[in-house]
Amino acid sequence: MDTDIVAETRDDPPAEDASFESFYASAVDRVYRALAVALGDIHLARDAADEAMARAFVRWGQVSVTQNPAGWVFRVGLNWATSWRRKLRRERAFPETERGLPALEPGLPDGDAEAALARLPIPTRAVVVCRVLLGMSTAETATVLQIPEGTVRSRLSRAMSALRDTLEEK
Amino acid sequence: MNDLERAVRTTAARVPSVPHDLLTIRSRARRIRRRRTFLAAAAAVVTVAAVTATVPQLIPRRDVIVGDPFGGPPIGLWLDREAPPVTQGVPSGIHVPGSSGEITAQLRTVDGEPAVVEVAEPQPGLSEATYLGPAPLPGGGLATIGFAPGRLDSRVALVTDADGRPASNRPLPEMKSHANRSMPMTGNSTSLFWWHILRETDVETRPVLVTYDIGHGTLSERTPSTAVTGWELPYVGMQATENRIVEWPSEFGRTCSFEILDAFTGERIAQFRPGITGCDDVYFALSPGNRHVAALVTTRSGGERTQRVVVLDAQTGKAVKTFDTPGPVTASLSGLAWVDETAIRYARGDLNAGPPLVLTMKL
Repeated sequence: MDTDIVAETRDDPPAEDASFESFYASAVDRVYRALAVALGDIHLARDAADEAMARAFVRWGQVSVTQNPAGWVFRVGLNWATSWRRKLRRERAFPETERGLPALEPGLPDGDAEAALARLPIPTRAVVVCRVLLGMSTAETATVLQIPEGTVRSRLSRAMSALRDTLEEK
Repeated sequence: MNDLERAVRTTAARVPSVPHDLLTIRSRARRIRRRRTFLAAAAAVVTVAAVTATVPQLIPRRDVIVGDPFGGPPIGLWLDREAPPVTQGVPSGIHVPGSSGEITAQLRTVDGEPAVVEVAEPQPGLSEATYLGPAPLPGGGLATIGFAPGRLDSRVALVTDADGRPASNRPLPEMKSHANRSMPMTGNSTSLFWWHILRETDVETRPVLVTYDIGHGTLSERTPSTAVTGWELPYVGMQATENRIVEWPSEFGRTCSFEILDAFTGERIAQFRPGITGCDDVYFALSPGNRHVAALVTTRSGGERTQRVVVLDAQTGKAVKTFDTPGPVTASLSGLAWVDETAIRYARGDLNAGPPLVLTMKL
């Protein structure tokens, strides 16, 4: 028993612990929602957010000094979820809609736009989420998602175009 | 952008809130740490295993060391068989160097450096007429059967220590020997061994293994149940450890067969004909624990000599390892001795010449 306590104390240095707690409280919900929108799966988003936060906690000394710790957590969560999904797909057929976002209530304003957003591919949605929900610039989005700025711009443009097409059809 | 932004924010707002628990994160973090530690340990094990398997193949094996790092007592150096004999052996005529067990020189350490030192001829207290030896003993000493000066009617057994000082000098008891040629002799810390032909009647003779007790000056004759016949006698060489003797005959001019005897009973324990190429001039040496036999093989081709050491398993006679030596061999003296069960000292050189070549060979 004593050994466990000592081990836990060693695992969680007090100073870093307090700093992480503060970050966690301020960022976890934002990252979770961003992942939910990007992934289109609230359960996977929850799991991805937890996993990414745990990894941030393990490496908090390095993560805390990055320019955008929340962006780091978002990217780690996104990558983890993508890998997880790929693994699940290999193991069994995985219906795309089975665990998606809750169905939109009919008649609500912006319902068509949300549906159009849900149809975008995950990499495009990730760019949109970074820019809109996490408030990142094009450069920050490129850094966090580890893609060129031009790719960020083109994906954003495709998202707006797709949304415009959907709304015009209506 | 407004439509897109509105759609994203609305979607995000509609994501149901879930309670976030820091304890879950801590628990998950511990699991990640454990997994990382395990993976790091596994990677280390794999790396170490890979390095262990690969590095020995990349690093040139240092199983032959030039020099004499282990040092040790003097080792006997045999004269090239085709060189004129130095020892005043009995009988003369077609005497082949080494065939009465005699060495010509020893590898010794002089002023901290290895040197070829001639064996004193005659040995201290003996006349020039030598019957057997001087033969090398395991600790660097020598054994000689000769004659006291002016007393050719009685033989003397002389044993000297590694420093050349007489350790035992006793009259040799009379033997009914019928030997028309000298035989090799060997010995260990307690006994000397050689074969002679015992004349039983005027027409009947048989080979007898003679054991001379150094401490008591007594002789005993043994006729092993697997008695050798005349042509099987070790006309070329014998070498003893504390409890075994390796001896090798001369068969059809080839010496590549050997047998191992029990030193106490003379019984033959094993007989081998190892498949050693170019094996017509060999000296054998048993390791101290009798596990291996080292064969110093001299090969002559086109007027050049080369030497190699083939280590054989003393239980099976199979070659375990071969050590080549730099060639061609121009030196007229060479020899080898075991350091322990894992290393052999090999040396070659000439009297009154430059420093000898000394190699330490590791199994």
